[in-house]
Amino acid sequence: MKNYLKTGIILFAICAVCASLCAFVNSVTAPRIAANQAAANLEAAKAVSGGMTPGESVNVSLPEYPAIRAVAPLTKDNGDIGGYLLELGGSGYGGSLTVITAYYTDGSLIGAKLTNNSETAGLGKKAENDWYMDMFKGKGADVAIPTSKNDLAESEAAAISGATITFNGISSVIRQGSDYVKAQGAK
Amino acid sequence: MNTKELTKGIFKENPIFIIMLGMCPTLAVSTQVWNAIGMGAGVIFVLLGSNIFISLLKNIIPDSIRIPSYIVIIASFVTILEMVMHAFMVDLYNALGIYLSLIVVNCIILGRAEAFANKNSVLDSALDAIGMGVGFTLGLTLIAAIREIFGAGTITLINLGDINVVFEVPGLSESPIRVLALSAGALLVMGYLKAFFTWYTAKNEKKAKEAK
Amino acid sequence: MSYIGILVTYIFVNNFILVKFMGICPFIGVSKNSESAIGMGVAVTFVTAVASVACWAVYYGLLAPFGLEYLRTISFILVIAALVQLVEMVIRKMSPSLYKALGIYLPLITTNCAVLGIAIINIDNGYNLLQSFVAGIAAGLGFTMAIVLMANLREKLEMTPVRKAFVGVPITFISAGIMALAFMAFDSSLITNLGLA
Repeated sequence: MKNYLKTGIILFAICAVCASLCAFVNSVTAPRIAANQAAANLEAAKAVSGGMTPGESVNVSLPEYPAIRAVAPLTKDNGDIGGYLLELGGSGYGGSLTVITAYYTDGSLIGAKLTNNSETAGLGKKAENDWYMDMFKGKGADVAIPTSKNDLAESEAAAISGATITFNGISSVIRQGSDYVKAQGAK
Repeated sequence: MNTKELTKGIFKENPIFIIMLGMCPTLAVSTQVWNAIGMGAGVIFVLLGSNIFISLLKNIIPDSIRIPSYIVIIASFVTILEMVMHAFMVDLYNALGIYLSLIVVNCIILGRAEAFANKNSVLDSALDAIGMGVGFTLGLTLIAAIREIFGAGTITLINLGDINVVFEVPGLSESPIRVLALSAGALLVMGYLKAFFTWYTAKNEKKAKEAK
Repeated sequence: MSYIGILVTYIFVNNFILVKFMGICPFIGVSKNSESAIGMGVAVTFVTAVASVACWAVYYGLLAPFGLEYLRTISFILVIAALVQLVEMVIRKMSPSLYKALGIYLPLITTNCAVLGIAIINIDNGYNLLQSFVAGIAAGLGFTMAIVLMANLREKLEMTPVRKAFVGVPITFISAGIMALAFMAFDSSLITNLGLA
């Protein structure tokens, strides 16, 4: 009995030491992680918003638009709402990915940026480049957001070859965001 | 100082090519040289931490709770690594993704704890950890270099957001052999490399025999 | 994502061995004959399914409410280690014949990346309890399929002349690579096209 108790205490002590060690490191790193995240989001938001000012972001979870994580209105210089900034979550080849997008009220895309992702370097990772999102820019209102290789020009289709899963992941969430913004405009 | 403990992991007992441990991160993150270096550094950190810790505690931990204690210690070091990397090297953290957490179940680390650190002195355990970790890193980097050069036509030595060192291989970067960057390529490269090592070892043994 | 979508995803599209490389150690080690491959597959499927549920419960029941998410890795690996032990004891009591068949594989499962992998993936993807369970089963089935196919291949390979340096592990890796090439036919557009997303 005494032996069991001793063994238990040793195991408990090891767990306690390890957990407090982790807690200490967490208290040091957590603020920095949050700050990094916020800075990255802000930078991406600035890059995609086309000169409009993003308002306060609200976290949402909508059953019809599962990809949309957060919505912020974009205001023009005169104070009118000119569009929406959306944080979209989807999945690519390497796991989950986050896309920051901005749309005009008619649902056409102003700009988009892939932020968090685990795509393969040299293939899916290409989507982080600015030229990648040019495939979608301006589309969404009259022309639908391309979601398959057949919707793309030949040169664009060549650029995404080898990374179709990434393309599918990104294009489907961008289309969802566009549909959402269009529905907002109709209300 | 026993240099044998340091050098054995690099070639003679190389964890990847000779004892075949820690396969899943090896194949999954070897798409870029920088990822391989990052993963290797992570494994060295965890291996060094756990080996030293376990070697220090080898007389305190009763045999019956050996494995759970080792697992807790290893998992703590992995958690610390994850948090530090998330805070200071976000790009690398994202690129390694889930495979960073999976260092916990990397057989190399538990294997070294079980086979070496709980029997040897702290210094020897630390040397063993560095040797094995460097051996792992070199093997991983070799696979990554082959896959990146042929699969993407580039060599990414450093990729820290602000500081980038990327070489482009002329000719290959325009039309790389993409399959090598995909999962199938990892398995093929690993198979051929292992065959090469088998052939090489056999050749050396034969030579040694003839010399006798 | 629908339940069938999750099943298809983890059996074919994101096959744990051929695409994610999780559980590659037993895949190479235990695929010498199809009987042991099936044994390993069943044992892994059982553990991934139970571990998915247990880890989900621990994360949302114990860690998340107290803001202890950073202890995820530690607690999951402990849950899995305890679970494997428990499963071993239960099987030994309940069905000695099953224990005889699976017993030697069970201790190996703790350090199988597939088990910890699916537990973490469930949390990262925000699956609910039932979805996690389905994903766990699917991951195990995908593992079983790959390892059984591989075992059959290796049984055939034994009768085929292979260059000396390639015998054993190297040719297994190369065969797995060719299998992975075939599995590239399943990509996530399959899920979209079948309307399972």
